[in-house]
Amino acid sequence: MEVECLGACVNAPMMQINDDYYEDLDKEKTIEILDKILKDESPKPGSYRGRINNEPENNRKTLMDLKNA
Amino acid sequence: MLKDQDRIFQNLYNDRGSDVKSSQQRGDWVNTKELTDKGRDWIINEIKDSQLRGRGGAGFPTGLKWSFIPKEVGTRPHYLVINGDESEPGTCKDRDILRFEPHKLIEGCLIASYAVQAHVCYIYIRGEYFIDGEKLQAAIDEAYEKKLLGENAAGTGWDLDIYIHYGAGAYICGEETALLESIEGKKGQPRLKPPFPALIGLYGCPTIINNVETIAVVPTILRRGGKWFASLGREKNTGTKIFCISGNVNNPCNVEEEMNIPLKELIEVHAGGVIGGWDNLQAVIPGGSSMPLIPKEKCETLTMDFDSLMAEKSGLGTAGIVVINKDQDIIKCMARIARFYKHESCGQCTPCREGSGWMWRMLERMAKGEATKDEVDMLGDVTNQIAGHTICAFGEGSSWPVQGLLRHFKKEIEKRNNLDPIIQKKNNIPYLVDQHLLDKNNA
Repeated sequence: MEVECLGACVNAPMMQINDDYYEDLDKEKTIEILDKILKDESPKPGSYRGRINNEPENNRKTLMDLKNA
Repeated sequence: MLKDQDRIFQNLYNDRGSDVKSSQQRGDWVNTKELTDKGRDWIINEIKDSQLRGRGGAGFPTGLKWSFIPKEVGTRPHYLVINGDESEPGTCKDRDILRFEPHKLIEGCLIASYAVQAHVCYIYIRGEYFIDGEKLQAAIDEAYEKKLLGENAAGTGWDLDIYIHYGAGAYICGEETALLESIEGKKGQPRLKPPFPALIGLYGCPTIINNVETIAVVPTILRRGGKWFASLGREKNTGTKIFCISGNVNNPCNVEEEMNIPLKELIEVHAGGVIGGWDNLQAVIPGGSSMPLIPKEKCETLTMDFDSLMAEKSGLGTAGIVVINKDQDIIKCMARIARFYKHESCGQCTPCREGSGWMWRMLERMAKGEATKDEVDMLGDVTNQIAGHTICAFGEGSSWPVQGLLRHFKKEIEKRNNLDPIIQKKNNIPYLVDQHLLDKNNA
């Protein structure tokens, strides 16, 4: 089935497998995830570049006093 | 840059958790009763004073919308519907609110329901956001447990039930009347307006439909006063907005900023600059894929709000900024967007159903340089015959990006497509072939 928009542009490239979003992917990481699924494991959803949610990677300038509090 | 204490969504990056307790520390649910005790007229007037405009794309003043609902509840109940369909490519702000600030949304639902006298509130979420919907459901369950919802919600004396409704992931279900059809269990096809939903909406009853972000900022506006909100941004374009910056930037991100912020500041400061430097910028789509693009020259001085973008013949839309640098083929990008709209057209109105496909096929050929000279003007003609001739705004949404391309990059299209329309034996002119036969492989 073709799905047009997954609504996670900021985390692109990303994919949805079942209900989970896998974000910030590249070719190797995608193959890794697919391999895990073929082995009946469940890979961890979320960013695959270590980014926290939708924050600007290594460039955060807002809400700094709340960070890691 | 906006000061941190003026940011409404303090938990946008989920630093503090999204449960009731940590939300209360951020100021949610603290004095909800005091706010509702001031009465409906006060709430609606305060929202009017704040000049809050709907965050879902059209930018309609929220206070004005709420005042359209009948003053007295007649034989038909009132409903509040929250639009969390968020299917505009380039936008992913509602997802973060559903995930990380659900209590701002739930409290907003309670206050808005009280203001428009609704006892039932539906939150419509697209099917793809299943996990995020589960998180919202957990927050709603927690709110019921803490007596913040249900009978006498949060001690306000108002009864409110919130239900989540999942869509199946159709773009058009983000249109308010199609959304109502979808909740009713029908095919998601927009209704003719008027009658407007404020009088005849969900199940034929008066209904107010608002975007997730619009409702989620309401409690903070009432706490800090409409004047505070109006002091941010500029006249008629007030307050803060979550901008989603994606595409060819070094650090794509969501960030809450003041309205009327310069586009260059957003890209350079928050998103870490364009890949390949500012000079490598080609164009920017300022408000989600349905808004016309803006070429680099204008990006230097552009400020991001509803009216200044309107003056550039574009629009703020949902503030999903897509940056396109010179490594991309702009015609191909627009052909991809046209394909999206061809796929998502609901098929109710002929100009949109047929025209969106025409636009896609012509742009695909133009990207390859297979179109003839006169087709460039023909494409403009097609867009003009779609925009304004359909039931809902999808017709505009699908033709505006193409019009923007023609407005700013016409020379580039003409340079690539200078095929002579006169039939010559050597030329295999594809537009003489039945396109549907060619499309079967990739439609």
